[in-house]
Amino acid sequence: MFAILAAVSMFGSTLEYLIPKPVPFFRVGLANVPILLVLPFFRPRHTLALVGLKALAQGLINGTLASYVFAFSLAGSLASGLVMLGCRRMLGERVSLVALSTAGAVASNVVQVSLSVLFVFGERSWLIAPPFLIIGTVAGAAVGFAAQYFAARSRWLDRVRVDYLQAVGA
Amino acid sequence: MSLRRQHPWMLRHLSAGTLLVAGMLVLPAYLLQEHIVVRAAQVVLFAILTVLAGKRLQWLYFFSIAAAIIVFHLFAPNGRVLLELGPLQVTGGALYAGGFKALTIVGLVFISLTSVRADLVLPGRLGSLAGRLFWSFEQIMERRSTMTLRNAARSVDDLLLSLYDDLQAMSGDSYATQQRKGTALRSDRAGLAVVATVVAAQWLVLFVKA
Repeated sequence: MFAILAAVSMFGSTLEYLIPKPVPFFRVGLANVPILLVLPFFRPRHTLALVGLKALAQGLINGTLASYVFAFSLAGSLASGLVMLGCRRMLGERVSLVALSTAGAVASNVVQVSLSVLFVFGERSWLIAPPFLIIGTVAGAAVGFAAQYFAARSRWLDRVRVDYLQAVGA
Repeated sequence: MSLRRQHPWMLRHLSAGTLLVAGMLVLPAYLLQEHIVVRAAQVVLFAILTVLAGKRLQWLYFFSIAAAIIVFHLFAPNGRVLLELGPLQVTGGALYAGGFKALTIVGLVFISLTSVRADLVLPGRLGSLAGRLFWSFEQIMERRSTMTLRNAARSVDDLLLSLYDDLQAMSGDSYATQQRKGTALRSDRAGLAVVATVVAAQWLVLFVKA
């Protein structure tokens, strides 16, 4: 189950790699779709494990595994995962995948801009913050819409949900 | 499946584990390579290895991917203007960046296709997870032509459902024994020598200055 979800993330990373980045570190977030899909029923530690696998897959596909970009990406992914988990825990089913995805994108982008200010580019990199955050938020919402549309129709996701809940004895 | 099409020499002399390790060793040398001509030569080499590994190469698909990446990059002008096509400026920097990125992605797919064989079984839970992950990714890439934009959600769902069934069917001991039938469990000296030569060559060209 983890394998196929991580493989879908890897495929999303491959598609993302083909899209030129308008601002440094920017990603559409297609690799996040599997995380969004399982967030409503996965246990938090399993969700975070999938977040880690996704970051690794992205590093492998983008070839950034041995660079600071990977560290930024991992930190952004973890921040995004934690914020989405927190929102889900606090608001339960009242929060949509679109809102979760948008919140996760904002968290990820804030962390990545902050790290770039602290460790790489210095104060000047605050200049990229507004476009980075705006584009990232819009992309996050779009990915959320795509995930919500898919989740409502997917027979595969139903199978994953049933098998997962059986496996964890819920 | 691809095992049937793999070159018999590779099946007899090389284990799936050796191929994966070789792929991992080649990956950093490939990604660190900054010379576009060397990278293009590497892509050709990996394409040949992919065919020998029994994987289907859809040339048109790879060419269209490369062309799309280059065209997208032309929308972000960079460097000397080489040509003007109406409002679109073809700049040297954008052309180089697009071409380099296109080669990178195509080469990565070739390395992945060559180094992940269907009979790959790594030790431990994490190893098993890694094997299944790479197998699933390879299958998505192989079956991607079944996905259509018109019925995007439905076609992606169908693909994932069939992949999920295949993965479930291959779980447990049957996964290991069935997949390994007729393939080398351990690489012999001849196989290791060829693999070591290919890997060493990628690292050597990294240090050769034009």
